[in-house]
Amino acid sequence: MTHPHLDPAPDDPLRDVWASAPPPRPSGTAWRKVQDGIAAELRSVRRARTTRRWAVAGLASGLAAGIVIAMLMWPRPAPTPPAVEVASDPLAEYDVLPIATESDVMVSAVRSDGIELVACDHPLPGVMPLATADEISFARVEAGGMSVPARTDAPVFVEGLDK
Amino acid sequence: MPRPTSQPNAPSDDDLVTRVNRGDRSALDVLFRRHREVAYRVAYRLLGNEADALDAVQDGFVNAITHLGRYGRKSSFKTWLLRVVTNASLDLGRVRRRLDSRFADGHEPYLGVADGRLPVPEANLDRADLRRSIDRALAALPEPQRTTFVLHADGGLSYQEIADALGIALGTVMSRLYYARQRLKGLLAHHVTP
Repeated sequence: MTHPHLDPAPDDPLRDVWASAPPPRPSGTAWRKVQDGIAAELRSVRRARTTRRWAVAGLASGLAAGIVIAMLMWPRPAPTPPAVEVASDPLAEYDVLPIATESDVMVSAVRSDGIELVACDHPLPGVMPLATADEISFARVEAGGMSVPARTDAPVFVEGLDK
Repeated sequence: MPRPTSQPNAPSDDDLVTRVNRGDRSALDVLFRRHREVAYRVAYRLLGNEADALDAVQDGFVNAITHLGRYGRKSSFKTWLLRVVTNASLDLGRVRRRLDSRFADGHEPYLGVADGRLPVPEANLDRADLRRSIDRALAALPEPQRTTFVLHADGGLSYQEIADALGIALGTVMSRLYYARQRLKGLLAHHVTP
């Protein structure tokens, strides 16, 4: 070993100085006092650790119990009622017959002696498709009215029996 | 690393420490008797008086045993104990210096060295005076050098054990020891026979 900082030579003068002036030896009483102090402190540390361990265990148990209670007490959502089936619209396959509203209609009435004249514009301009005679067949004609075959629930306008 | 035991069949330090942690008072007695002298020597050299050194030994033993988790049993219990005792001594020394400086009122500083050399000793210098000279010389060293030197000279730790205890490189240990020796030879020149 050639490191310059390595161990000093065996005849290092500091060794002699150190060896000739060791620290004073404590008395037996002083040693006992230190040993008793160590034992007392270790007992205190062990007691504190035991207390802390129980405290942690208690805290954990309390927390677990709290979670269980909270889960039991937590308000549950009301059961959803079974879905009610809505009857299908029987007219869904037909175009809805347009109907004029109040704002679509301008009615002018002229009243005079014995005369009552009502004039208005067509509220819904355009062609209104209606069933033709070819599209209608009568099953039975009675004096009080007529019966249309139940082929459809769509509304039917009838102009007159003579047609 | 072999555990120091005084007798062939004596329990190892690790066994004793385990038993002490379970509250075995007799194990504490054996462990304490085995290491008290070396712990005291280190503490005394770092503090310069017996009462403080014994306090540091007590704190050191308690902390070394209760904080074994940090020690991890990577080195010997003695190395771990001396590390803790060193820290306890340095802490105690700082507290003492603060108190001394508060109450000193301009008196001589704690173990201070006025110039680069200690006072010339009397012709018949007794052991106590030489011890005081050593204390003053050690106090004049920078703390890292002082700690390293004391762990080696009084604690009997090897370079590697000092490196482990202080958490420094082996080269740093060598360099600190070298400069500490140089400085101490100068400060104790009156007592050192070349």
